Amino acid sequence: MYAFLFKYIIIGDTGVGKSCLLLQFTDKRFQPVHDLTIGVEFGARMISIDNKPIKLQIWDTAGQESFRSITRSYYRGSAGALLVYDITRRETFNHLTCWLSKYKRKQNNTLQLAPPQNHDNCVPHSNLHLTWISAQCQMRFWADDVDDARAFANSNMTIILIGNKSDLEQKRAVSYEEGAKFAEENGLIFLETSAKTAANVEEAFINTAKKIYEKIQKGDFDIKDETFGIKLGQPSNKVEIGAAPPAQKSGCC
Amino acid sequence: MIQWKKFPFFDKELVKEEGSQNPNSVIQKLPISCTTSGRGILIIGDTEGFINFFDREFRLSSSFHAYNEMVNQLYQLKERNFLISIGHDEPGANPILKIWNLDKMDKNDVPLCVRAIKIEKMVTITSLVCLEDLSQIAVGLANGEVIAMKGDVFRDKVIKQKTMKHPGESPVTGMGFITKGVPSPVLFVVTTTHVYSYIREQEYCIDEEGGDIGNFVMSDDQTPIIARPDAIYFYNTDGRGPCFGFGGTKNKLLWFRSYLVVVGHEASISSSAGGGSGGTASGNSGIGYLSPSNMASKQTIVNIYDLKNKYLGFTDKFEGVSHIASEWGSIFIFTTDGKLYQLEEKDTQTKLETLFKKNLYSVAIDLAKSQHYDNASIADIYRKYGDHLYTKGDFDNAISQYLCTIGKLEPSYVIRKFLDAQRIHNLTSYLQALHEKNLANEDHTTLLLNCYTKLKDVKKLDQFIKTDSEMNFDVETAIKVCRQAGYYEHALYLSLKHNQHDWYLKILLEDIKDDQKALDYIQTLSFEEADKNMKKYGKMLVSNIPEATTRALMKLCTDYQPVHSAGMFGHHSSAFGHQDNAAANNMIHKVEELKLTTDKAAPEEFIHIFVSQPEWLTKFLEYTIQQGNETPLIYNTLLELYLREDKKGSASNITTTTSSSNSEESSNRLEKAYEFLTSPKSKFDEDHALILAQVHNWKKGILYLYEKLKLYNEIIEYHMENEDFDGLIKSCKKYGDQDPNLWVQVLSYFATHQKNCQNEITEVLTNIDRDNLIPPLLVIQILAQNKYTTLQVIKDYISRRLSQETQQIDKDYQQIKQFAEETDKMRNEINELKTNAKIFQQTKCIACHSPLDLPSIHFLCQHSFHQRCLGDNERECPLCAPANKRLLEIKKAQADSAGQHDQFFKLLESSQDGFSTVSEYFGRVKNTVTNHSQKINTLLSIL
Repeated sequence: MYAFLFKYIIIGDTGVGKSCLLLQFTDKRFQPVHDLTIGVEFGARMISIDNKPIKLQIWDTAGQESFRSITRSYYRGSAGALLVYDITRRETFNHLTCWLSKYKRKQNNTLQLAPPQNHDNCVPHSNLHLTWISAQCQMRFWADDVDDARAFANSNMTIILIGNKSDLEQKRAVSYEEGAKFAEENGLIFLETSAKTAANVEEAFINTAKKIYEKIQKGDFDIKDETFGIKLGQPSNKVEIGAAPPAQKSGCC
Repeated sequence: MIQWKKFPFFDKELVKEEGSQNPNSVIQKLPISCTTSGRGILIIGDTEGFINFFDREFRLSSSFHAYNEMVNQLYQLKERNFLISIGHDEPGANPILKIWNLDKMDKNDVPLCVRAIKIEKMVTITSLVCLEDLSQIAVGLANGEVIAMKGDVFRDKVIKQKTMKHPGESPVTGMGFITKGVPSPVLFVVTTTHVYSYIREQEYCIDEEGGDIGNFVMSDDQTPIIARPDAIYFYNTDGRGPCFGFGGTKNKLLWFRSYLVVVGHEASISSSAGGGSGGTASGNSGIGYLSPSNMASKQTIVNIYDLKNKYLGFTDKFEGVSHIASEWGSIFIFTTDGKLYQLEEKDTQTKLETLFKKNLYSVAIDLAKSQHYDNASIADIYRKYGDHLYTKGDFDNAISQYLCTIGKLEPSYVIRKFLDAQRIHNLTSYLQALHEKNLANEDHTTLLLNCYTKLKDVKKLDQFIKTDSEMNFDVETAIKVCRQAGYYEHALYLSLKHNQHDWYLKILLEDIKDDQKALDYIQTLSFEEADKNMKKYGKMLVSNIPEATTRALMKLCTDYQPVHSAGMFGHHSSAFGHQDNAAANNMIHKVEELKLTTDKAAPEEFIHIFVSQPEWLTKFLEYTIQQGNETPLIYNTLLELYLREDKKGSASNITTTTSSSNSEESSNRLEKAYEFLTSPKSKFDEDHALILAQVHNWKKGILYLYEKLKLYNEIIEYHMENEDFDGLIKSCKKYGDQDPNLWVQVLSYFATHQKNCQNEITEVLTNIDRDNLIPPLLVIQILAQNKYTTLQVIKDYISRRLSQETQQIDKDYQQIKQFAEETDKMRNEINELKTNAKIFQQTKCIACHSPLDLPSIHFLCQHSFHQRCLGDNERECPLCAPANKRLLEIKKAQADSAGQHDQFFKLLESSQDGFSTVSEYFGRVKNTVTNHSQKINTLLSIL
């Protein structure tokens, strides 16, 4: 049994190594050839913080733009998010603002009604200039709002920025400093990891959990409220389900 | 569209009429309304109210009329042979739920209808689900209502129908019970807009998206699965689980073994690119979807997904699928045109071979694992994968496959492949893994360490050697390899850790040449080990650091105890602080106890190690002698050392221009040696010492030893050789008493000596004369050999001797004369006794002095007795008998002793004058003289 269950999501552009990070964390192995994630996958592992057993329930999302609508529905009620970019591909770093703004937008919890738009705006193009992307992102947020309105994330979500593939130092395209600076500006935890060598992978998940745990200690969450992505460990299944008040469900498909 | 890999893992086959090529006519003719399966039969309900049973050969095995109208729903229990059906008996009437016992037939050969329940609501039934024990039956209605029936359907008279879910605008499209892992059965209900779960009649809304009719299925492990146009979602009692983004509208779902069978229309490329979000794909009336004309809507696609291993096991297009079912390990697809297709799964081996052909080994591995293949077979696939990657040149990944074969595949197979300098990294990781799994042998250890050293990967080596807490490699090999490669530090660490003292010292001394450390280490060892190693390496140590080694040896030979113990306790007690002082003290006591029993090494065994360091040997030996630990060998050696040094000293005296200190030193040493030699405590072997003294020509020592050994002759000879006349005379005087022959020797020496040594001869003669050691004639003979000797020298001696001789001769003559007279007298007496009569004139008895009377006895000795006085003994004169007897005894004894040669020789040796003894004997044994004459002659000649 666990004292707490934290819900995590892993997000980021396609091919940055989200699934590999999860596999490394849950199975302690690395799969060099990994199929594209189609949809949303799931992994779990027990960790221990402050001598308390904590279960991490981790949702690994497809990075491909075409699955965004599916993955979006999983953003809701996450206590932690791993925002991953690939240090060898500059564009994955440039897209971070898109990913992040989406959350900020969601935090507003506004429901805007607008006709469905073409969602293809933010498909990664490596040669695009950052400012151009920002502009694109701006356009996208507006579009996103429609679909993401119900898939909001809570404002207390702990986000860790992860620069993955740190083992490929010779192909590095984003410096550590840049990553750290971006994280600082946006109030994120920052780590460079390697799912291949397992460097910092444990730390990434555990540091995030520690941060969440601190917030719980400080009383930032109403832990009864499952929208925060935190669940108290309870012996019976029934009570867990009972603890999810139907009132929390908002909006409709 | 992003999709998984496709494999032809199913064989599609049209089910034909028996014995013909045409489609099965029975099925073709059936107006199918619903299907179910299980327990070896395929059950088809039709619109005419018949329930038809088909066997494996697709013969209609039986059929009965269950309803007058259409059969709506069928549900076959898995564990019991019961069939639950819902249908209408009259058009417009309430639907009726019937429970059939398929094992029991009534009189019409129709399965027994156990129970028939009229559903109270007049709404189209969209789904039916039951618990295996039939304690709960749930019926979903088109108006969104769910009716639950609880109770014992076999016994209860009335089964209460309770509305579990109230009607809503969206119809119920699917239901399922979750019974595993939950305290009470959870009913899972899907409507077109929502997903609910019911736990003890309590409703929970799980999701705000639902699913269309046919888009819900429960997997075999009771996971609810809902297909939506954008993706296929897994659920659990809490809510959404993982999802798979397979776009396109779906018509039907079926769970088959570990596969999900999806019947649907594939989303066209243009419409799915936008993400296929909620309803867009289905509702999209854009060009992309309809352009392939009406064919697209008719053509349905059947996909069979292996969700665990992530591949598409089958995909094909069909002309409108009406129903799907599975039984006998196959999937059956009923098409709208009345055809029945059977999709048969290939056996795992065939599947694996397909995958191998496509080089999709990782999929094959997952497949084999999910089919519960044994480890050996899976390892074999890993091996194949590894081989494939290897031939492709992808060594890094190849090795990671080979890593999975550890324990099954012979490691040499892999090692041989990677035994190449360029792939040493891979080899290293393989070997490392072997060690981690404790499957490495000595060779592997050697190889791994060699790899490390070749790669110069000190960090890894450190890690391997220093952090490896378990002994999963052969330590000796590791030490050897490290040493060979020059990683002495590691070798040292290992040997220290595993108490391989021998190796440790070898490396220290031979490779690192850190003698001090080695010595310190030896001193930390237990006595036996220290003793052994000191013997082994002492020589090297002594020649390099003589002082420390000697000290260590001294210790070893007296009261050895390992050094570290004290140091260790010191360390510990400081670490523990004051509280543990008591404990530390205890331990120290223990050590002291141990100390009492410590052994002492035999110092003589260490002598050889000092071969090149005599000074230190001297010190060492002196110390051991001081300590009272002594054997003759030590004394001998020490003596030798003293003498040798002396020799060396004298040698240097000659070569270098003499330094007084040097000579002083050497004399000091000699002094020491003599002191040592004469010390009563010394226990050396005298013979050995003598040889040593002789070898080193040490006069004082030689003489002392001769004396001690009573080798006076040797002393004399020594002096003779050295022409030390004074010494000669002195020693003669000293030892002459013990061995008078010395004088004779000295005399003859002087006599034969070239030089004139009159004084000495005189001296000697005086001494000879005093004890009358040799006949003068001999003296003269001896002296005659020397031409320098003058008469003057011996005149005194000769005259004195001659006068003595003359006196003696005179004395002898007198004696002879006396004896001759006595003999004559005796002869006369004998003669008289023989020839003349004897006259007995005695008148008185000798015994009683009374006058003789008869009978009387007279003896020839002129004694007369009364017969009565003699008693019984009348043959001997009692007066003379003792004297006679004595004489007789002497005679007898002489005769006896004549035969006892031993005694003779003894006497001869002990007597001063051998000649007289011989002659005495000669006299005694004259009777047998002829026998012994030869012997006597020999004796005489000796004398």
